[in-house]
Amino acid sequence: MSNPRSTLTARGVDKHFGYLHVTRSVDIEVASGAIHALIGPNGAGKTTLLAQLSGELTSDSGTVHLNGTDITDVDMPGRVHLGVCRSFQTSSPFPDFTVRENVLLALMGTDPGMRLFTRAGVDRRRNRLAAELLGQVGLDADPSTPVTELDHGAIRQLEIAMVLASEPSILLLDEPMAGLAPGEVETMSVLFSRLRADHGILLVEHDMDVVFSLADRVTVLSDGAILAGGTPGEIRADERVQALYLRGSDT
Amino acid sequence: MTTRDLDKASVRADGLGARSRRPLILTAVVLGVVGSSPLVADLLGMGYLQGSLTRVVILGMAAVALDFIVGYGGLISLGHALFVGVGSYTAGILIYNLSRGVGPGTDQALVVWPLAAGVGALIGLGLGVLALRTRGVYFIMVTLAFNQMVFFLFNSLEAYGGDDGVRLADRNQLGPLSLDDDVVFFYVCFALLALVVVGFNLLIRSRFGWVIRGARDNDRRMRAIGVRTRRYQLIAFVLAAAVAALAGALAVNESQFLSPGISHWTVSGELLVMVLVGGLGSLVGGVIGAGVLLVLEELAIDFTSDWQFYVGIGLILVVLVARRGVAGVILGRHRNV
Repeated sequence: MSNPRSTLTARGVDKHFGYLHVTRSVDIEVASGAIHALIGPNGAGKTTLLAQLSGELTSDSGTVHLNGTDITDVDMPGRVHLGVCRSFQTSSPFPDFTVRENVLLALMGTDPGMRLFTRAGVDRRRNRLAAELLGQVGLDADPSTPVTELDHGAIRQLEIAMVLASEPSILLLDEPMAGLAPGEVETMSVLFSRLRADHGILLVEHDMDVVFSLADRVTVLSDGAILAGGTPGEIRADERVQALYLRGSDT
Repeated sequence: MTTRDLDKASVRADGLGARSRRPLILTAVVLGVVGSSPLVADLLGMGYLQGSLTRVVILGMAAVALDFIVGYGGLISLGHALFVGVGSYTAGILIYNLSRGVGPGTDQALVVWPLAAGVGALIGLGLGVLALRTRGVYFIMVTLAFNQMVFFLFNSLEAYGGDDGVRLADRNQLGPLSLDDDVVFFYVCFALLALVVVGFNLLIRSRFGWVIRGARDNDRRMRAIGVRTRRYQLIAFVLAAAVAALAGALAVNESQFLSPGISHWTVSGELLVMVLVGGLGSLVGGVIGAGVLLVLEELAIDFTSDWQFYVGIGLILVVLVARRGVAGVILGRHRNV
């Protein structure tokens, strides 16, 4: 399925939006077998960094490597084909389609050929794959439900199934647990620890309990630059991080 | 997920669910009504409507192609008449020069019509590459600008009457069929319309169609899935351009008059109105819209010269009350997918 060992490495990536310097020479590594949490206050540049890693944004400088190969100039669809796939902070399944069809759509990404006149959505193998993916993320809603009728928790699960559809080795997850009920957060945490075995996961997350219980490594981003990096224990003890979050809670 | 659920999923995947059958019935009914309209008109002693009915078929064909890129692709083009004009001028110039002894084959529909569609596709490819660098309002403005450029280009063709246009002596030849017979010509156009409608219906249900519909709703997400969406949108744009050009070639045969008026941007607007009235994102709605507008025009013109005013009111009502047009009212919640 996915590469047994995969490593996504960014070195010195920079991004400006006009006069705004959003990410400043960031080094970060995501490797299979580990969950790497990316935390930081709002506006720290987490989502921008994730966009640079996924290929959605081109960096002003710096390089991105996957397993030693330079993929700096590969666009987002190209990186998906190489095994780097992202989720979005805001839920965005395709409203015109059912739950199952959304996963089938996600399966199309890495499936070559346009097949102009062949009816889509009827292939048994792909339907079985879609059902397996929905099972994997624990989504038990009827797959023929229009996606607009799902509740928020189920949509977040669907989003993960759609990311997994391209069989990525590196997952870039932008606040996948935002807005979930405590029970749902628990389910999602179990799923991520299971995925850790053969995926490298970059997890942007605001819930510190989740971060400290789940992550193998934590990077703290502040004003676009790395403030601190280390194990959850080290980060928890870091005075600069504590100051950052105290400062954050004042505002 | 249990095996039972799995089976349920594959069963639904195999057959046409209730969700997708009604739009097909509507499509069949509309084509049936249009196909039998010359006979009905004849029975009612309204044979004089024949020309209007053929125009419904031809403009309906262009509108179906427009609905494909607007309703399913989310590419709101105000340049569709440009391609109708390209088809008209490709066919018209060949027909016009024939009487002056230019090249063999220029009177044959099987040569001229595919050629018109091909020229439309080529120009669609060139303009599409440029226009698809933009999105939303900018895409509308860019296609509108192209439309006007081509309109003024046709206006400047003094050899073909400039802004007056020229009358054409003959229609194209199609094997043993006499296209000069208005009813025969109608059915040739109708057969092509049916092909176009069936073709686009297959397209929107294919992987290709799913991708452009997905990109319409969330282009960024589609690229994050691994699809280079612009390629798909370009192909959709080119296909719509080719069909519009074919409609243009038919139109110039119908009217036997080559004029730049057919490529004016207001014609692009009228085609868009037909799509909206008939039902955005229903394909066959383009035919319904063409029928409603042309029949209204035909009927209303006897009573008032301000018929466009009333069409305008009707359009406002459609947008306010029935977002998805006539087809939307008939189909209710059933989408044509």
